[in-house]
Amino acid sequence: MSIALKELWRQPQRFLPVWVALTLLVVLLVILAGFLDGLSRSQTGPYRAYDGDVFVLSDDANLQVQRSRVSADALTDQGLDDVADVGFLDAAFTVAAVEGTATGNTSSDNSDDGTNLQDVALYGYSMSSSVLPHAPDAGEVVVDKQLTRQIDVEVGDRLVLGPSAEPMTVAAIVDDLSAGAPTLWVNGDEWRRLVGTINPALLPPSGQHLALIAQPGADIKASTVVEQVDQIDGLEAADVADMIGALSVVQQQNATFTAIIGVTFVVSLLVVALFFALITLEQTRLYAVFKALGATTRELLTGISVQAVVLTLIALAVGMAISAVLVAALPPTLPVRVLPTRLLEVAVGLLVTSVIGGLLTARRLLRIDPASSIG
Amino acid sequence: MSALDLKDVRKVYGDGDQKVVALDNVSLSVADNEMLFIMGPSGSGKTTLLTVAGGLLQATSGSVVVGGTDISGFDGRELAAFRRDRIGFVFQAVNLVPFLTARENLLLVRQFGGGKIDTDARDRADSLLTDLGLADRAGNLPSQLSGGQQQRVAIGRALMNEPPLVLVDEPTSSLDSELGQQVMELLTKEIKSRGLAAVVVTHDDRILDFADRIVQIVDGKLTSDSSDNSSASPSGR
Amino acid sequence: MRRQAGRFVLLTGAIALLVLLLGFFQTVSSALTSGITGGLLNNQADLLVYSDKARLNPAASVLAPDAASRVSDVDGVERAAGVGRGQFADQSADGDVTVIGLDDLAFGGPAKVATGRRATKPGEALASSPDLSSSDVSYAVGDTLTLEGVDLVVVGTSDGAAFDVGPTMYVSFEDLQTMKSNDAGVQVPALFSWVAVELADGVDSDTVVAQIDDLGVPASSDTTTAAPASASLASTGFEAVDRSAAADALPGVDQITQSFNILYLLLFIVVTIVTGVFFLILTVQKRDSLVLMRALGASRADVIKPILIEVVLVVLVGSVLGTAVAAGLLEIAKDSFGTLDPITAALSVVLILLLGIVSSFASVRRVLQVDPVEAARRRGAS
Repeated sequence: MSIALKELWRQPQRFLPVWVALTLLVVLLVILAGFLDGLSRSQTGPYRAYDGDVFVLSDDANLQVQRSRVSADALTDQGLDDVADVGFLDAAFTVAAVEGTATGNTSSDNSDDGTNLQDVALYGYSMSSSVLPHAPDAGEVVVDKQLTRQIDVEVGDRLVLGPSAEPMTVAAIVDDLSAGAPTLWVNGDEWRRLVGTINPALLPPSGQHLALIAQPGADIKASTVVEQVDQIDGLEAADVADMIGALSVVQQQNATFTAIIGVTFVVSLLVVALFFALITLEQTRLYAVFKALGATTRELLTGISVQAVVLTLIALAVGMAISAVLVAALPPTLPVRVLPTRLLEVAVGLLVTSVIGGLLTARRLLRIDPASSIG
Repeated sequence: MSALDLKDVRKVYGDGDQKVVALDNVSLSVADNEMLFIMGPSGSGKTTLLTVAGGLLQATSGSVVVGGTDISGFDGRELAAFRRDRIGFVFQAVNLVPFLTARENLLLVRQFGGGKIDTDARDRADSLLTDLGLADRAGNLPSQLSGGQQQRVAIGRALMNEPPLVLVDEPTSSLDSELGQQVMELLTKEIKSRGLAAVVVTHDDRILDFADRIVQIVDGKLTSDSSDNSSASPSGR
Repeated sequence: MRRQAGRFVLLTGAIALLVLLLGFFQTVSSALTSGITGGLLNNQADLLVYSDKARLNPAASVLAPDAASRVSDVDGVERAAGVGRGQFADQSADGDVTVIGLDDLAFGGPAKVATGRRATKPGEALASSPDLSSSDVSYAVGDTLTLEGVDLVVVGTSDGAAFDVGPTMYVSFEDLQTMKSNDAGVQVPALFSWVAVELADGVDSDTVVAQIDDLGVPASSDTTTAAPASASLASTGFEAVDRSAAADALPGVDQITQSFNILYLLLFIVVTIVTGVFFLILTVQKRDSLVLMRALGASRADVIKPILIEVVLVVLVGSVLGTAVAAGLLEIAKDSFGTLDPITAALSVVLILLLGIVSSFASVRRVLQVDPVEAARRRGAS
């Protein structure tokens, strides 16, 4: 084994090209994965806010919150013993600015200089979650971190919302819950009042909400609640993953990025396989000598695998460092989110890919005749 | 018991019209502590004889017994272990590993087959290098050594695992006359002092003095078990 | 010879995959972007006029019913028509449909009709052609559908006319209003999302934009019969932009196009460098035999020519294969991904070819520098 490592250490120039290629592929994979997760997360914040809970919509809404109308008491008296708590969710798009900074016209200046109107998604809610605090009082609003990245806003600041510039006080700042735009969260009555000033056509009839959120009781699976709610006439339930899956843009992006990441892995496999195939060709004589001196094909294969693994590890380390610098250099408004679990997937995936690429030389190694070391 | 016993060994390459008989019913015995030279024109089968004796190739028929072990039925794995433990090879092209130092080239053979480099191995490598006059070259890569020095490292590597049989292929082909003599003297000294058997394939007339016995091979057949340089003497010179 | 063939196949396969990767990404990303922006980019309107509080977001823009007539009074405006939008479920197809309601059925829709004709009366619809993500729901001329109780028959289709990455129906504003009211369960006020504007010939669009923006809040805003809540909404000013600016300003478009551009650039760099590395490895690997050729009296041209031929052959065969596979895959999934852009494909191939040649020569250069006599000696000693 140490022979393989010594070769790597003492003849690095031989391995430089494949290492460069692998490092670049790592950068590509990490950034692709970062966009995959970032784009997806930037559109699904409100769902993630209720992770573990069940969304209840009208069954004609195709799981699209915007189009759903559910009666506020649709789940009461239904004998749902497995549901611990029920809340609601209402949503509308509008604009917001820090009070006193809203300019009349945005076409000339679309920048993030902290003085402009921002597109925001306004949510009305009732039930707190691991991310959301209790619904704020009248005149108060909870904002997510994404808004603070776009304009300078702190707890206690006053925002103005919608075309009629309704003033609201920032009560809390929560984790990024973007839904294509920064999100603002108010209580249900405030939502109705505000949306009435934004676009009354968006208001569901009195006593109705866009969606209800059912919190499963302790030790109850979300899927159990989904099944029960689906039995109720006119309702359709889904867990967070299914809600996200129902977003066609997210679905398309995921499919696209997953396909591209898959092809990138295949390219990595080819790079490694081609490289070690060539190195084996080049070193046929040396491997024959190794065999003559008593090495088995398995030992030679192990050596190549070790080289592939070490090369990949170094490429991963350097590639991820480069990616970190690249990501940091990207505009902060770009939806890139590098998740540790995803990095781990990339690392494991690439290691497995390289080992397979290295092992593809097995046939070639097996064919090397130790007798060719003589004569 | 002899170090090497070949009985009716045939080696045939290819089949049908392509058939080439490289070894034709060769029988040969090499005693412990004997240095046997095999001479013959190119294509006569002397290299094949060496590869069959060293377990690099299996004979088509006949038996190959090394140090009392019949290797005729060995599979690839068993042959690899056999080569590692029982045979020392000195290759014509030296074949040192370019990215390993002289010392590491010696230790190399200890690492195959799951072996470990222990103090014993390191001591042996150092003492071999000292014997070969390379003590101060132990940390040099082959590219930093002269041709003669490289050949000496190769001899050290062949002796590293204390094999009872050393097989030497054209040891002087790439060395000039004087260097060739020096290397052969050293090789003979190391082999004789350890009481090992050696088979040396060569067509270099100038080194025949080092042989205990010389056999000629032509067209895969041993034609003569010729000059007994000094049949019983422990050293040729 | 067989070794050479194997190597050729491997290398060609690798190049083909890289070209496939580039082509696939380019096509898919442009399809995804056009699924969001197509409806605006391919619109009949020269300008779109939003509420000045909407930040150019059609979903946030609300205009009073008199907006169109006010805009049409501006000098240089040939015609102006109000447009509304909504999104509804097509229950029979189990998918979402974006509905664009045109106050003037002849104006405000897509610039070109691919099959059939435009809608001319309520109950008719011009549908966007199948596009990204609409593969599960697509409409053709003659299809009928019911959206929130309104029966529609598709009388025509238009390419690249989608909004919100989904099927889009251009219908009468009347029908849209009915759908909205049925959906809400009450009569909703008739409000436009934007006003589509056609400029008169030879008019400078910047001048017209400035004039529309300067219209400001109307003096008397309660001349309409709309619901009281909309009175305050009508008292907003206008913001006019041209089509491409409107498309760029759609929420998320900026992010997505920027993301894709960065990724495409990165992909391109990686692909070209990896290709270069392939050829570098190959040529380095052949260096010994090339040096030997030099030693045997081969001229520089003799050494370079076979390498050049190999690079060109591998890149061309690989590119053709990669493009063919990409085109084939995309043809199968045409409804969801669109088709390959030949110019991009050709550009990629040329760049890969160039980099392959450059990297091969980088390694051959060292071979050429070796003195043939020296080469012969080195071979002998090995």
